Amino acid sequence: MNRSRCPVLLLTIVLSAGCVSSRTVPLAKTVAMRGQEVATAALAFYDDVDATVVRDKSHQDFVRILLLPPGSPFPDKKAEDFSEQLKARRAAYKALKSAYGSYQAIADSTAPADVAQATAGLADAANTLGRGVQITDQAKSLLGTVSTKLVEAQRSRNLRKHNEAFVELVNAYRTVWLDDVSAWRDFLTGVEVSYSSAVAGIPPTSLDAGKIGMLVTEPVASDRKIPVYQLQLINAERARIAASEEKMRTVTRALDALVAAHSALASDKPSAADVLQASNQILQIMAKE
Amino acid sequence: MTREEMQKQLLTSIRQYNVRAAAVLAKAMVEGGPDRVAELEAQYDALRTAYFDLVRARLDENNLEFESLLRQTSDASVAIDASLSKLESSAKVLNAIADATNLARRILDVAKV
Repeated sequence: MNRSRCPVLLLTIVLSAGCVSSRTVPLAKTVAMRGQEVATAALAFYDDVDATVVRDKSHQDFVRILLLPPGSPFPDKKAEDFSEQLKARRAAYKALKSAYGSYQAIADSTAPADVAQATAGLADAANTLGRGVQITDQAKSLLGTVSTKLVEAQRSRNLRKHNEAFVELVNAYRTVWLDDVSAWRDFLTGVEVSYSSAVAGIPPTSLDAGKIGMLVTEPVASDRKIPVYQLQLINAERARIAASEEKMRTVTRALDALVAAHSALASDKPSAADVLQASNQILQIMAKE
Repeated sequence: MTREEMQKQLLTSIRQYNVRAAAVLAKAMVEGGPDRVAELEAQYDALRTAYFDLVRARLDENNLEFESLLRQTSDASVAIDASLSKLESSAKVLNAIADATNLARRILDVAKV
């Protein structure tokens, strides 16, 4: 512990646990920034789900116009509503983002009031995750551990203890995220299959061969231009879906690295190399997106 | 059969219907006019919504007994594929989709209990 940062009065025995090594503070701040970025990436994925819902409705209407026989009613397909599921998850990740703001305050703070306020922010993230999303027993157990760690951290006002709490908190987020991954993948697959199979079924008579001939630049016979155009529509949608899946994988990997960063900070003698390695890994994962 | 397998089956039915939709819907127009077309499309919508409702239910983590209903739904879903591959009358296709959708609905009703 760097004594130069500690109050000198006897009274500060109570506060001295709030003092942290001058080496650890910048590392903790770096991890706090990465944590905010990971939470932002998760929120961006949920925005992507919203955009996919809107696109799906538009695509369904478009292909129906081309599939329905003349004289059919005009299609107005219902948009698949995931707003309730998204609402709970967004609240959880907003709370996590805010918790990282609190974490920065904990790293900076020597004043008990600030620490108490910051710890409350961390507790809020844990409570929001537990309340908003239907979670598995494993996640419940992890959140139970977060509460215990938070009580310890609050009592000791110690950055290392807060990191122990963050290890559990981010682990709980990671567990809940992984529980969702296959369902979101199925959502994306449902959207992709609904569109691509309908595009494949569009009869050539519903399309303007002349216009498509100008759009398709591949050197194929004119009677092959319509299927090539259909393939282009399908491939464009598959690329959008693949991009969404990649966003999801990015968050999964980044959450793993975030747990590693907090674990390194929570050790008795935090290794700057380990923390920075985990932090850089998050940066690399995000950059690939 | 698991819920995930049921979803795969519904997805197969959606795919099978769509790739043949133009022919099935043209036949429906001849056999029953715009009302039959609308009915068929409403059933397709219900089939698709059933698929997405199962996804939503998974997100909501409803852990209830699904197995027997899943099996029945799967059978109905397979019947849709069989009807479509033979391009049977639009009424038969309609009934097969309705069976699958109703069973998927029952799965979701059970999940809500």
